[in-house]
Amino acid sequence: MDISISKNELEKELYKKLKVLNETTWDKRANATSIKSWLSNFKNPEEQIHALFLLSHFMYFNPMQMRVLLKSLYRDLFKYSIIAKIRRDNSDTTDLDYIEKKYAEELLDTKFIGVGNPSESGVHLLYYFRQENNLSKQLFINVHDIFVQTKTGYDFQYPEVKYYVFIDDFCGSGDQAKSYSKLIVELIKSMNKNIKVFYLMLFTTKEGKNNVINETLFDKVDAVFELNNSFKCFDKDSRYFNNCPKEIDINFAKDFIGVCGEKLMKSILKKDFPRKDAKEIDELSRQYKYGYKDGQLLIGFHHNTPDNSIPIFWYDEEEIAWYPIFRRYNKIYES
Amino acid sequence: MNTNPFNITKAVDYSDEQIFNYWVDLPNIGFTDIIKPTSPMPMIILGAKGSGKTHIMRYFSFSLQSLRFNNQDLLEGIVKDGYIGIYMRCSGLNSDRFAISGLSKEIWKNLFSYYMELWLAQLLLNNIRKMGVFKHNSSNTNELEITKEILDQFDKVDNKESIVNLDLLASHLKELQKKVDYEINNYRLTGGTKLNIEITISPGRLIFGLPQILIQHIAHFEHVKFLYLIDEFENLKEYQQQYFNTLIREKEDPVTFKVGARLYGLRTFKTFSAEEELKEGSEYESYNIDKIFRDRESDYNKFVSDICIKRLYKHGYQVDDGDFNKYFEKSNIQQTNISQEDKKYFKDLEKRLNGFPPKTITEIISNLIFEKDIILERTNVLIFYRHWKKGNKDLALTSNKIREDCKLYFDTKNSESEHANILEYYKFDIIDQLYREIYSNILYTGFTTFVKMSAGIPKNLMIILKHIFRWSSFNNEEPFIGNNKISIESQINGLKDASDWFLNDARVICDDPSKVRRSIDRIGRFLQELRFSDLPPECSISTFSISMSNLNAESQKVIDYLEQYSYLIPVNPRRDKNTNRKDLTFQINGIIAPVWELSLQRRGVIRLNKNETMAIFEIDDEKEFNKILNSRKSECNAPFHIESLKLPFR
Repeated sequence: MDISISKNELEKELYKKLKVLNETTWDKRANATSIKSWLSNFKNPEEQIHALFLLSHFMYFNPMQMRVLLKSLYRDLFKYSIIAKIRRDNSDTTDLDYIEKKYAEELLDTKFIGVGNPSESGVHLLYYFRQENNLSKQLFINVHDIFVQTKTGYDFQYPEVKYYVFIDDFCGSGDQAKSYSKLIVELIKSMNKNIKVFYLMLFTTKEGKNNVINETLFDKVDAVFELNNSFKCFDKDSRYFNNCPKEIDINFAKDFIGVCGEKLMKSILKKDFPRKDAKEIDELSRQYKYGYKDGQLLIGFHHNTPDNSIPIFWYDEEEIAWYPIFRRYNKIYES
Repeated sequence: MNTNPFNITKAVDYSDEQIFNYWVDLPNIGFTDIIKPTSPMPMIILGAKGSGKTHIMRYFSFSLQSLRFNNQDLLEGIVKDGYIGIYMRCSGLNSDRFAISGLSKEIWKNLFSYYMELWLAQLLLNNIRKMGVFKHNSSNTNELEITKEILDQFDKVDNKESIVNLDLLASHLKELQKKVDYEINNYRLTGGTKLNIEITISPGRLIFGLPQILIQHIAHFEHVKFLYLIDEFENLKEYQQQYFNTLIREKEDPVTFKVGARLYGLRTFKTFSAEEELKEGSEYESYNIDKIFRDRESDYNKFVSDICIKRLYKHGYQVDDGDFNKYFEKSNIQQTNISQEDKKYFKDLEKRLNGFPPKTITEIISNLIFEKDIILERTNVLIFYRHWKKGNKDLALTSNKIREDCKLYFDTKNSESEHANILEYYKFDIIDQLYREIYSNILYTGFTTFVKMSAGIPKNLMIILKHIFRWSSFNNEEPFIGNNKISIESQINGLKDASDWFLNDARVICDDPSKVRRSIDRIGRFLQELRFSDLPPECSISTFSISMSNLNAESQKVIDYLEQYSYLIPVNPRRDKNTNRKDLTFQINGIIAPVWELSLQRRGVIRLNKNETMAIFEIDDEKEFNKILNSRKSECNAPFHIESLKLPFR
């Protein structure tokens, strides 16, 4: 007989909250057994209660929520902005039939493109994006279908297109958008400056979004859910430690999670960047111990957990025995 | 099998098919024998929230009759049942609409009664239409003739000639009802000028007249009762209840009524007949469903077990019909390993003995230790306090005697010994004390315990099991599969959630809800302090009694609310030994007993004196309550000083 009922009050409260999260938004991905396995990664009860506390703030988006967000992305960030333009160009008309007709025309001159290579999440989400918004598959192309090579350079494969809409699930630092801008958007703009290129995301950090706005040629950069600094776990404005229980100490959490995170990131970085020397890897591991580019996030999606989230939640590599709670399917960047 | 079989706990959330599929009858004297649907005697079915009134009333409705006779001839089935159930739920009525200021009570009375005529007649007509009476093989009835006769009940009908069958008649009634809805809904919006409604029929002409016409023309209905099932009666205003009371008084054959209401739902027994009151026994009979369940304990246990089995089966669980307790982990305090230093009861005793020579304290404690059996050891401590209270001067000698008695009892189990006597009455209290002292939690575990906690309210059991199932699933225990057991942790956590739900859900609607809430908390704390005192004054504390003479109007009102909202379960009144006077006796509802760690058994009754009654149910001042509580506690805790308090009460 195991009468393990004499947990402290905070632990009881946290488990109560985790139970509700598990049976509602978390799709039963983290039951008590997997939570206990995950807690076994940590050294002592003090670390475990802090880890449990942070887990209770983890934001996991299940497939249904992702589908709703994809609807919102299309409707709020794309469709409404096009409709607003149609109305502006037509003396603020309220003629619904006319607006719908014009919108259908504009939509035909639009191509949606997933960000990343076909194996990555941005592209993976396009399938659901198309389903949720009842869009024709003709409106979707791969990034390499934008241009056709001619004897003298490049031409547009679809010269009628007015809007190229890049869709991504998550923008942490904005690095990927910047590289897309350099490779693709600059070329589009050089060939036809009237074509509008959008970069629309489900989630972005405030910093990532600003980087994309300031350092790229995208005409519109927006996200359904913008994470400001309060979502950074150990930021001075962190929402998680604001009015937290007295048993929870931000500095204690920051220290032990940093130690764990550095170890975990090092093993990933070594694998991802085999050509980097040990010193560089050490330095990057220190910088990324709370997630890629010091993301410090507590966020995960059904299809994957971004590496900008704190590694203790998602690390699932063979190099270190670590039980993830919201595993990340890691990408290998360099071969 | 991923869904929780106990998720749905409200009958209104069930479809007719679900009510039918999940139906379980009470063993021995079943619901048909209790409700007596063919009896002409009207009935008021009272019950606490969750006692199953709606479930039972819907079972007797026409929709469920149709499902029961699904593969048979429905008309023959109705004849066999001997009644047609016309079910109406008062909550769908939005009864407040019929009381907007600006119109006299008399006008609202007339409008309401007109509206009810139209509504109930439509419900009945819809049932008749679904029955296919006129298409029946043996039918030689003339629908046109019946329709005409029904129309003749009206004082005025527009386009009478165009209404040639019951379908068109039902449409006509619907139009009239819609007109009333429209006018009333817009009355306030239009500045309360005028209601453009004509009352086209006199009260009762459809409710009683329609069934009478039907039995005259349709031979099948000759011995059939037309049973109006009026559910959620508590949602009606006083004059609206008075209207139904009048129908009950003036009912005409073949019509009868069954009215379902919460315990507090009856606002009046008056009728419109010179404001005379309905008389129980001669004009109606009443039953309290949860009281029936509590009184028929073994039938109730079987009934709720059957409900659980059916739900589990329907969700794909292959449970056997045997003992449900096997699915729940049991605890055994004897298997607990605890060091002497961690035994709180010895630490407390040491504190109580402060002032005695250290050598004596050590001797006493060492005499009371009995390592072979922790329950007997704890019993030693209780017996020691007992002798201390009796005034034994030489406590060391007393402890030595207890030590000898304990050994003897352990070896012989002598039923005449003091240990046997104490264990007979206090064993469960001693076990609960031990759990509390060792694990900081009393363990309310096992199916039998949960049934007891439900206090005759099946919904409470479903709520408890729903929460336990949720915790068990979260803990990956795969409940009700094979030999899996639901852990004690899941049981404790689920129960805590169920208690919280009850306290939040059963919020009392009255002028001063905080007072009612405070009172239940005070009585809970009061009983808790006594139960876990050094020498509890009674065994299995959870029940208290109050002398009627100690209650004023205010405290009586609070007690009434607590009873009506089932915080308190009334227990058969007991007679005071000294005064031969009957007291009001209540037990704290089992579902909230864990909040104050109270017993689920009903053995000892704590009699509250006048000051205690006032401190708990009347006065606001928390300090005064604590004074009274401490005074009573001091009688039960060593060194057992009895203070006589002079409090500024009347």
